[in-house]
Amino acid sequence: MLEVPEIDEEIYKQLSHLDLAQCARVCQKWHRSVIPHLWHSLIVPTNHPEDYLFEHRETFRNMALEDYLYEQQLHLPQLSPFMPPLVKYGHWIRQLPQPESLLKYLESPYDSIRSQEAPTKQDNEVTAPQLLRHIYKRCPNLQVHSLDVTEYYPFGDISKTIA
Amino acid sequence: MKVTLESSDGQVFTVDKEVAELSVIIKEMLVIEQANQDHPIPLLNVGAVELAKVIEYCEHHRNDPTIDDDEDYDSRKKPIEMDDWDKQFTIVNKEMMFELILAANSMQVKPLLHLGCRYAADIVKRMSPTEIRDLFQIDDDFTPEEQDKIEWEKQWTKL
Repeated sequence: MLEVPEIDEEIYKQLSHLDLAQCARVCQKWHRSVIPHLWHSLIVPTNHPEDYLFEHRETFRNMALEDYLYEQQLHLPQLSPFMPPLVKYGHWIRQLPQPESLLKYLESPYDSIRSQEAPTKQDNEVTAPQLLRHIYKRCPNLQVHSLDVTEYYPFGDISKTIA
Repeated sequence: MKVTLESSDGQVFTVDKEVAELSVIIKEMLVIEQANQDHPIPLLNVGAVELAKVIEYCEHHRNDPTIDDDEDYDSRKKPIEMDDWDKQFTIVNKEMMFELILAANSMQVKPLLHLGCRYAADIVKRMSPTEIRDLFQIDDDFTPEEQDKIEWEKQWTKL
């Protein structure tokens, strides 16, 4: 906003996720500067009810699924032509909810954006743990707070990551 | 004890040492140049108008407890407290406030920097991209293709 990174960071910290999303759409310069903050944490904001992300689980699962299928090169015709967001922005993510919550969000196919179509084979075959592993793979800079992650975390010994 | 400060445009201000020391930069300079107080401290990035305003702020907050730890400012956890005086102080146009933020940053007057950032954040809160562009006179430089992409990515930004 003021083109001084440390000042901008301070300003963005005071903005809600929605406000940041609006700022990212102003122009290319703002987009570049806001994106890292916008993707910093996909965690329940404190001013939202507990089940905030649960309400958006459909979007969340679709994001993970699109990304997973993109990697497997199973680009489905009804999916968007754009590169899924985790490929580009995953490395900005620092905070995610606990793995047990994430598994819950990723669990079964909900009425997805593809609900008009019959659920595809690939869609149904992808399990929640697979998706979670995939998410962690896309987020190498995650600040890992929980040891429970180990089972799904692809970057080796978790205790080292924390230390 | 008094300290003299010189703005980028050559205006000299005399203030109490404890007032000037709200600026981390000046505080450090005073330690280094303890023996040499004959010359005013030059502030090459701060104009006289902004410096006067920064000093006004520091005068008012001279007795505030100092907060050294940046963590304490993490506004995600703790909103910045603004008293009535601060609210009056921030009734300036946004260009002036942005100049003040830059001055506070270069002088490292942390409480003022945080106050300014809060002001800046309040400006864009709940504004649409179009409204922000109008206010800041920014051109929409996204190509139609990028527009489509951003429109598509919008669905993830609620996460």
